[in-house]
Amino acid sequence: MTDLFPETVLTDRLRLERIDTDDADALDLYEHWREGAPNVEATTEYVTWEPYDHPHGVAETLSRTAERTENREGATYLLRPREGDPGAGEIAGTTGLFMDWDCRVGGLGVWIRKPFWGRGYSGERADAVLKLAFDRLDLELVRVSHLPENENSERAITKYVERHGGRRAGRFRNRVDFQNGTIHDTVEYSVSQAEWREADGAEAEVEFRD
Amino acid sequence: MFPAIIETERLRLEPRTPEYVDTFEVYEHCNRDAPHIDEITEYLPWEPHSTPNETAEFLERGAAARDEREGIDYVIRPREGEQGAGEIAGFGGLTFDWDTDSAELGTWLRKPFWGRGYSGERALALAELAFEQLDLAVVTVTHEAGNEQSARAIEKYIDRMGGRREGTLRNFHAGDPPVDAVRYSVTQAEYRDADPDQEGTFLDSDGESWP
Repeated sequence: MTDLFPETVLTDRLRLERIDTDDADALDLYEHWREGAPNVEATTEYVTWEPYDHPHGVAETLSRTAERTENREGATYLLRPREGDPGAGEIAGTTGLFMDWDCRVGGLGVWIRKPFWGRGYSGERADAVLKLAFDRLDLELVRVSHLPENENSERAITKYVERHGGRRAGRFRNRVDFQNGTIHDTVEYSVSQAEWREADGAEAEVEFRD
Repeated sequence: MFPAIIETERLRLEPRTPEYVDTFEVYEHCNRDAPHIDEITEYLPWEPHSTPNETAEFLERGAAARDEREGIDYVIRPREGEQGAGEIAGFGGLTFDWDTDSAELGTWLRKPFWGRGYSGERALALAELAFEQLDLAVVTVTHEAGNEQSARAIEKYIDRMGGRREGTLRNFHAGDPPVDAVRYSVTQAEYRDADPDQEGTFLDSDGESWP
């Protein structure tokens, strides 16, 4: 049986590898997710989770991630630049697709290490995940949100949502609570499958490998 | 932690629990053959009840949610002097999301009671409870996209409380097909600033002043 979520996704410059609980991944990610890791304060400023104080915590997160994939509730991928891009083969970040089958919706998430900011990786990764969501999983809608004060995400998201024909829904108050107990508004966006098909973004070169 | 009775100028609200409301009295208004039931439930997240057992479960869920502090729903009855005084006009309440310091309003009214401004009167009383007594930061409300009647009623009372329309969330409710929703919110600061000219009376189960 073919998995709903492909093991590997290739774009022009990125390789997405599905996380299937692997202690090696946990130790690799801990390097970037631990307290005191380079730029970890900047890269986790607007995410729901806090830097980790032990690789065990990362392993637990990965094992929950793998369980989610097994239950067909979503998938998380490691992002690695492909041959030819600076830092090829390194972990540049992670990205997730979280399913709400009853609403026929997928939610996007992404985390990227600071040395890889500004390369348009988030948009390229979004092209790939949208193709996965619409072409392969036949979802009706993909949604994504950022905190109102996160201008980097706002720029990146606005750009790819527009490219794919989607729209900004608005700012929603007291919409999420973070692991550290803080409560935040969100700015939300969505792209429908019909909008995506109409827009040129659907033409992005993406390869799925099972 | 919650008042048993809420009174406004024209309405009396009592807990949606088996203690306060009779199963068959509710079933009469929400069964599949109840007058205008399809029109009433067109934009609501529930289907008409097929058996009184569903109605009994509906009331039990109301009691359980209150016990668990997940939500408080009230049966709405017009007070003395109103047409249909003492009848069930509908239901209205708050669903809590304590993690985000917010509560969501929800309501439905039987058709004979539409157009009287009951929804706004009920909303203002529940918002007063949410902000003044429960100290929540935000009160939200959604209606299904396309429900013009709810949009009108909600815009009116949200405006009175100083809140705003936030936007449309597509595929918000599960279903076949899934349904879009329009969301509105009011913050405690906006509510205090707007100072809506309505005060509810809150009573405990003995009819004494609450809290």
